[in-house]
Amino acid sequence: MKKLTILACIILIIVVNVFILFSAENHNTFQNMLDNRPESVNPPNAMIIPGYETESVDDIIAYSHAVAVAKVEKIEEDSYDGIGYELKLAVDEVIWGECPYSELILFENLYGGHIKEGEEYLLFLRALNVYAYPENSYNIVGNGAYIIEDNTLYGTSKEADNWISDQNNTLDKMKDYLSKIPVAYTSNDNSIADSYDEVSAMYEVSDSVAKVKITSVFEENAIVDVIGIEIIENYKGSALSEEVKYLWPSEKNMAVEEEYFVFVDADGLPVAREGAIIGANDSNFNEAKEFLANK
Amino acid sequence: MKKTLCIFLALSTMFLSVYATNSIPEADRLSCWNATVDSTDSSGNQRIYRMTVQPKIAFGGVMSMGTFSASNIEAYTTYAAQEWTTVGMPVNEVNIGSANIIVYAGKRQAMLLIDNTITATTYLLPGHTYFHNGTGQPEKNWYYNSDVKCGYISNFNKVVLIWDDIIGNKLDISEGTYKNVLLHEVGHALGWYGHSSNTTDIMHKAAKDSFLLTSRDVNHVKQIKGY
Repeated sequence: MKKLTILACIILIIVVNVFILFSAENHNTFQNMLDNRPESVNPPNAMIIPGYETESVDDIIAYSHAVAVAKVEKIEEDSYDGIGYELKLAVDEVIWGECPYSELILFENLYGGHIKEGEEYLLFLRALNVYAYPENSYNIVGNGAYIIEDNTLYGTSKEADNWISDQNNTLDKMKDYLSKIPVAYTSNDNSIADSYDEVSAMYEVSDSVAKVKITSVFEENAIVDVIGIEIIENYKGSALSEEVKYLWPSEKNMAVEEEYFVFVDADGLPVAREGAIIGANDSNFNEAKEFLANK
Repeated sequence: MKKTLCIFLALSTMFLSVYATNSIPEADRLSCWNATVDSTDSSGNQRIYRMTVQPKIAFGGVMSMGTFSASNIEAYTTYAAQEWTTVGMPVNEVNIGSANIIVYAGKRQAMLLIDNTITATTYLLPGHTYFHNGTGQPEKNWYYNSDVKCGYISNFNKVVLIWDDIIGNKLDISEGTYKNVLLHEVGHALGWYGHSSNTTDIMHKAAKDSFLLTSRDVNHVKQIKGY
């Protein structure tokens, strides 16, 4: 009898142990996931200016161009030297602002890691709007990526939980909340055209147009070279300066002493993804030469 | 016999309970290179880099007009190199072609062309350090000791980016703060992955109008320098 009691005790304790282990690993998986979220997605190697921290949906929306529900289809983890990831997303629903694309490209730095492949999120988006990237390229604004679970929103970082309130902590409430906030940005505000049919049209949208001689070239990355210039003739504006280096397309293979017509915005960036940096071998060179000769 | 068995089983229950909830002893977490690292990445790893090459820094230029003066940023770069050199972390100033740390300044929009992982989170920040080798392939070799992640960096370009605007608005910060930002970002390029928890340190996460390295900034670099 005693042996049976001891045996029963042993079996009971083993069962309890197994139960503890099992429950510790599997109990409330979603809650565990929430508990394991990062405190913040602020990059640890960047500096934060006191007073500029985002603290609410109103703060996030002030920097957003659109808010959408989208599913992460693919994360290219090897992108950008292990420093950042390129994500491809399928848009399910745009709930605020204008986002005319069914597929998005997002860039997330390494310190995020809070967006998971195959999952759906509510995303506060800002168009990248830089000539070297496709027009459907976006960034996530601040910690503005929310997990949707049974219509309830959870921050992808613990900090982001504090930015939603009883007024907008479900998807339905968020739609209602955002519907009262005017949209300030549309896709028409994306100033980067793929190309212009005519040089004259490109001239009109440019802040500065000049003929420059290349004085230095440093290969920065696969997208841009760092270019030093001498201004031979300035046709429009004053955005270009010989003191400043410019990030111009590496595909142009610019070399020292070569001359180019450049059509740029106020930051010295090309006004079109194609055809705004014109060298002697480019198809619109003669058109540009003729047009600018009359300026 | 029964008593011993019961004690054994009770202890094993306690052990398994503790193991299930916390499998990494606290003491092991800081053992990697004996480094004290304040912050972690999103996976909970404490991370540091160790440079295996001599740091060589160059000013790459001002990338767009902004409010920067190229000569000022060049002078701040020299200041940052000299400050780190003075405290025992020699940083040589070289030309851009042979540098492994390059400093660029400009508008954030221009910086996106160098590092498109500057997300909207970093829109509000005046500086960023970006590691790349120009080919898209990392040269870091990582190893783990418990949950501390340590990496070597060899012949790896560290690009320090600073900008003076937030989404079209000028950042109204002082010359002292720009110097602080450069010292801070170069600190990352030299091996600091995380941030100090001490608000007076240059390597604390918040920019401020002070630009002298503290003993804590220096001691941590001495811990992780590997050349």
